[in-house]
Amino acid sequence: MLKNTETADRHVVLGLFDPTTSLPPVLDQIRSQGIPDILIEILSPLPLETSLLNKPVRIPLYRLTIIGGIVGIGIGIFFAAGTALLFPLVTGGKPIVSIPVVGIISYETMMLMAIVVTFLATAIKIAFVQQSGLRNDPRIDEGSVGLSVQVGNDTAKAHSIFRLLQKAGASEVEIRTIASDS
Amino acid sequence: MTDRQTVWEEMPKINRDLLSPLQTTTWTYYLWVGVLSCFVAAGAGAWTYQIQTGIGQTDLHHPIFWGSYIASFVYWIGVSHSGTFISGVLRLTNAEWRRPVTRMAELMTVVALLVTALFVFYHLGRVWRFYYLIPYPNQRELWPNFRSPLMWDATAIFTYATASTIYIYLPLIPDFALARDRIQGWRKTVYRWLAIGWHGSQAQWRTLEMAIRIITPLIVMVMISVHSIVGFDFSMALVPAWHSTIFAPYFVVGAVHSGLAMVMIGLYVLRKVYHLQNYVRTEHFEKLGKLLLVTTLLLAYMYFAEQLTIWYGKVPDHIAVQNSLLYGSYAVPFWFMVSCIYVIPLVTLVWPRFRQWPVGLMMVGLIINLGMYIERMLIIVPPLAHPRLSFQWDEYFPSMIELAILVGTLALALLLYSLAVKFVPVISIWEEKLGKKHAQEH
Amino acid sequence: MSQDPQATEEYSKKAASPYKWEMVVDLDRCSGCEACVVACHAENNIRISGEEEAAEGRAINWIRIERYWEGDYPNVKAKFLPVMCQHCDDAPCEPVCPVYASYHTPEGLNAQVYNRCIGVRYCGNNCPYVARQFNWFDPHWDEPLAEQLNPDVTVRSGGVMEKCTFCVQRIRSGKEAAHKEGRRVRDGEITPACVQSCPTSALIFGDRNDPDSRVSHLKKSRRGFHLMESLGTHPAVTYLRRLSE
Repeated sequence: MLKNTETADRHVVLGLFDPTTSLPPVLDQIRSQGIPDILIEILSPLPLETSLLNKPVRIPLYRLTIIGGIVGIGIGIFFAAGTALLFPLVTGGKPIVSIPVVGIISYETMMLMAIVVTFLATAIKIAFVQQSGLRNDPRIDEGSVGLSVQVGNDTAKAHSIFRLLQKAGASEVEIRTIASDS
Repeated sequence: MTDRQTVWEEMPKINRDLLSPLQTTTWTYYLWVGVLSCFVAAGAGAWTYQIQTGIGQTDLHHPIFWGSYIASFVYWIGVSHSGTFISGVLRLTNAEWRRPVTRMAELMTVVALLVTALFVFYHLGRVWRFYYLIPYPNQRELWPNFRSPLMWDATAIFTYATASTIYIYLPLIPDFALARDRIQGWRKTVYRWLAIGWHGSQAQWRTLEMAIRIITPLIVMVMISVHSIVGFDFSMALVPAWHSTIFAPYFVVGAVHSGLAMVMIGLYVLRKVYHLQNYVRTEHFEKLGKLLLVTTLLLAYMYFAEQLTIWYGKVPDHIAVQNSLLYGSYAVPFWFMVSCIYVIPLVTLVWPRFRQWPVGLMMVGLIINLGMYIERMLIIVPPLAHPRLSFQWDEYFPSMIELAILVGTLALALLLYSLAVKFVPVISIWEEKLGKKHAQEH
Repeated sequence: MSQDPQATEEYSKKAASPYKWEMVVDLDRCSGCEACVVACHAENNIRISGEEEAAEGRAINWIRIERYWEGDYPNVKAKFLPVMCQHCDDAPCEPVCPVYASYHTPEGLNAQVYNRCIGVRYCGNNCPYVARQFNWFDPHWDEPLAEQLNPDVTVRSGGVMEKCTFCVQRIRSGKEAAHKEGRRVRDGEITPACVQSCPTSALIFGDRNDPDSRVSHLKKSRRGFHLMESLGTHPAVTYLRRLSE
């Protein structure tokens, strides 16, 4: 309550477009308003082939997969070789540390960790994007493309983007205000 | 441009069609679920009785220590290969026709794996001590032995179950989001959690596609290793006719064979029940039929190589097993099996006209699955029944309790699948849209 | 001698104990009387199976006499082969157990830890001698038979694997007696129940590490062979061929 609500609220402008609309000119117009690509997002019911926005990728996913795999190999070696050495019980015809066994077990744990880490990273990435104020609009899944722009607390800019999207041919435009304490 | 527009205009219809199984339920569905539940209850009762009185309720006796439970275990893991093979391999090779088939196949994988795990428990002599197999520090100072192929198996299946759950979940996220926006009630909450805030931004699409692209080859490699290790369970043993190098690849191909046949049945039934003729077309049956023809030939080739080696080598321990199959006490199931999994598929599927006939393909799928079940039994029982010391030769047929548990478990698999169909769109909605878009662009 | 030098060398690496228990079965002396089978049942608290269970193949015998017919009627000869756990140095049953219920003791015994066993029965499949026996049900003794159970031997519950132990309880008490007197176990001091009860002395038990023991002498016999030697299991039981062969 002590905070000035005027400055803490954030606005998100969402315009729904017919999928046949050419988006690059619209994007250029938004950019000319001084909004960086990182605050613009295109929402669609299926992945679009071409990347219209220029956003930096922080960590490539495959790198995490590889790290997960390496950790998995370590886990496999620990289970198949390490624990056998810690508690060496003789079983006929097989050495305490059997290399093929270590290979098989660490192959499986490598795959397990690689896949689990990839999944966790993906899930976090997907869930994390949400916090930037984007919300799904059911109408997009019915066959339209959404253009969402975050304008921070600048109400005037929100309205100018609103008009811009309307002029660009959006079938519907709305401004959503996210209260600071939500 | 006009072409492109049609996909987008079709989207409301696609959404409606593919979500309708989640929204409307007929009385026949409730009846079906009720009947299956009765079978499951009977199976559960049989298992309870077996736990209470002893594993001797099976027909197992020495030297046949493994029987129908292990055979079923192998069979169900085989079925679980359907999803991974179809969606994994076909995704890798960019086969467009896979789209309506992947989800229902992946669902089969997950259900089959759950069922597979049950058979391990049915089989254990002291199932209440199953946690001895789990590696965690404990005051009993017990630790599992990773030199045992059974521990390889446990590790591999754990990996496979985890990975295939992830593999079905990832492409489901956009579909969960779709369902979240369109379905009310308690399910909305569940879908909201499962959709993890999906809103279809390009950042999310890119992440998802990248993850699927990374995981697909990995899960194909896991799939191959899992059934190889199931094969190793047998080929690592000294038992005559088990101790064979061909077992690992043979098991993998056999698994894909029965898995594809199972998908054929599922495809036919789901299409019929949920009127998916617009999505599952004859083309899909035909393509699956061709794949099935390939696995038939491949499996027959491997089986021939294996049996020929035994026959020509004439090592007494091994030939005893083979003779019991060819004209001994297992001859009837053996020749029945040969016609079910090799002869019938071969003489039917080679005809292009036959591959256009969904009912026929579904029936071939049923026959193959029946044959593969028998094949799993014949891999396990006859070699065990013919140990090197011929004084111990014996025979085996599943007891009533075993059969009750097998039927109950089959009902459980069908029940789980039927319930899943009410919760998960059986055709991946966004992938279907994407497929349509591709088809119209080219 | 059948034991190949490499295997003996490998074994000596495993063995940390002064004793190595082995058995010799003289097939020439075996009359197939099955006194060993009865003695084994009495000594080791082996569960009693009725006629019906025996017909189902569920009767448990740690030692059994396999009977093979040779020749055609009327010139048939019965041949007897006593088979028990061979206590292999490279036992196929041991590495396949996922819970270490089957493992190798320093004295070369192939031990089965009943408490660990969860009944996956892989060991039973992998034993080429079919020596392993499974408890398909909980054991049961009619009164007053339950009164005669051997207090030195565990009663096994249903769902666990069991097999010949070379009467490990007798080995242990023999070793304890010798240890009190500060000496090694003398040859013939320890006899498993089957050896003790064999009327023709076809079974001989002793310490292989003692070069003067009867087992050590008999093992060198030209009649000696191992059951399924080609499998490389290196059994601790040596069979002596029949003289008539």
